[in-house]
Amino acid sequence: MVIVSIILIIIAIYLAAGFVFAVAFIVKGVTKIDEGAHGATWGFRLIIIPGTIVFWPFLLNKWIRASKTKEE
Amino acid sequence: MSASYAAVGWNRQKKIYDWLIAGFCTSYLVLFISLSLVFNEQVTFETLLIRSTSTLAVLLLHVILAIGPLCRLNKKFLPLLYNRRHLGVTMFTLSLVHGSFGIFQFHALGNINPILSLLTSNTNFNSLSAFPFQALGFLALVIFFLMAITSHDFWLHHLSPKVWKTLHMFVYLAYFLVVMHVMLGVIQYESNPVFVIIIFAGATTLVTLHLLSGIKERKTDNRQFALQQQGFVYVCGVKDIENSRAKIFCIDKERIAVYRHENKLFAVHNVCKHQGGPLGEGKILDGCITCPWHGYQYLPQNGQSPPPFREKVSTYDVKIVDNKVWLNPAASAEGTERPGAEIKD
Amino acid sequence: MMRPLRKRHLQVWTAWAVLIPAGIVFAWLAIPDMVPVKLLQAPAAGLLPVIKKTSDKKDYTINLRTDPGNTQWQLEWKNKSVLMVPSAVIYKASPNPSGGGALESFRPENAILVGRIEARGDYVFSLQQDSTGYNQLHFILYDFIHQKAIEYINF
Repeated sequence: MVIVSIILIIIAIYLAAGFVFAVAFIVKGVTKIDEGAHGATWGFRLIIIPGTIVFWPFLLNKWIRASKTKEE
Repeated sequence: MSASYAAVGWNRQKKIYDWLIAGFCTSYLVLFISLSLVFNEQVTFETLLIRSTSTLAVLLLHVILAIGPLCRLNKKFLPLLYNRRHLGVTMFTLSLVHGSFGIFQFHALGNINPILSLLTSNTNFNSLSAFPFQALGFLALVIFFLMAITSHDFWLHHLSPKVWKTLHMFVYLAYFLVVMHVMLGVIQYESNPVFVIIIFAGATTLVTLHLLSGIKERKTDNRQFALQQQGFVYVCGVKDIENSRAKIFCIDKERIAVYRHENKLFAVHNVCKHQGGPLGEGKILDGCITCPWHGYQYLPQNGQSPPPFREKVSTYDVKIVDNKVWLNPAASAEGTERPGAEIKD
Repeated sequence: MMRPLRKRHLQVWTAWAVLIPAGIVFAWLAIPDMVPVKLLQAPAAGLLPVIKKTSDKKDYTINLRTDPGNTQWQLEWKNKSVLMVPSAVIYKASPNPSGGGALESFRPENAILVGRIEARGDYVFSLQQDSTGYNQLHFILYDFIHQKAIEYINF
């Protein structure tokens, strides 16, 4: 029971962090990592929020790499 | 394809498809709820919602899982596949309503977190009849959730088709979990065998369809081509290929689609760049090979998607000698223009 | 579609062809014997005429019914108000439940499943004859979601 509680708390923290990331990502990040997102509708941005909350470390990594290649 | 994203890629067919889904689901729910109220007017609202959404979701899950093999067995079912993901998201939404109300009704009244209660209140993992069946349903719901949130093509591109397909193949595990969720859950307290029979019939149908289509394809894949000449392999007669359609041949472990278009034969790699759909199971629409899965298009002569799209597939050489079709399994670079083979009557 | 992917589909379904029917059959065999058929709002004609015993609780009333010759028995369950549990089952336990009637020590494996009730409504279950002669009867209202006994009803 304690272990399950701890796991649930960790998942909750992970998802909360994902939510914060998702807000920044749909405003700025998404256009940085994907050309197709230029001129994409707000409907599209909203629809990728749940996925962004779950897969945020992966997208963060892409975002960082995309901004690095731009600097070079 | 590669143009700007929209939330939902609606077109006329997809709208009709979605209206049909919505219409069917609404009628089912209304019918289920009315019949339940007629036969048992004491039933509570929450119970009605839990039952109607769950039975509908299980029904839709069977339809969803049957579409793939049905299309491989008979092309007439292809329109069902075209917008399968909307069916999937609908099924997830229904499961979510069922799951949320279930968790609320059974676990929200206590003083511990409902999810924690769901996972820990019953730990009889060594018993069949008292097995914590809710945990099975919850796990299936998590899988459906991950599939639903990644159903937009954005995720297909960024997770890569391979990872995406692997993630979405977990639907089979989810199906198994759902079957056991039903069998170890509500059915354990039902004396009527009809529920067992329905679940068994559903599972048998799906298993049979998948095995039949898999075995059918294995035959195509394992076919040996005996006649070879200067790199070309004899595959079939000209008349075997219908106009605007293709036949698929597997040579040296690669699947190649030979299309007939405007009295010419063209060969392209069978794998669509979008999700790996079988191009050879599609047809020519507006002069383009159109993938049966999501309608990605390629020109038959060069394997390129018409602008502004940029997808390309490999092309192959074909020739016709005495009404016999010969195919060269050596692929040209993706998007290479090939002359094709003219059919002389 | 790619050949390896199709192959994987076939492998999964070959496994499922064995595992799913096996799972269904095992789960089906695990269903406890339930002779009675659940009757929701049983018509008055279906009820046996003699009320042998009654137990009146805050949320529900239960009647033990029989016919004049005491050959058939029924348990009639009438919910007076909406129960706290949305769905529960009733077990018939042996006359001297182990642990002297403590709810915590109740084990469904040692009891006979009578039927399932819901938060609202009236239910009638027919009871199997056994050696107890219905002089001392113990029923247990059991929450199968949380796997715990809610209440003992003694006649």
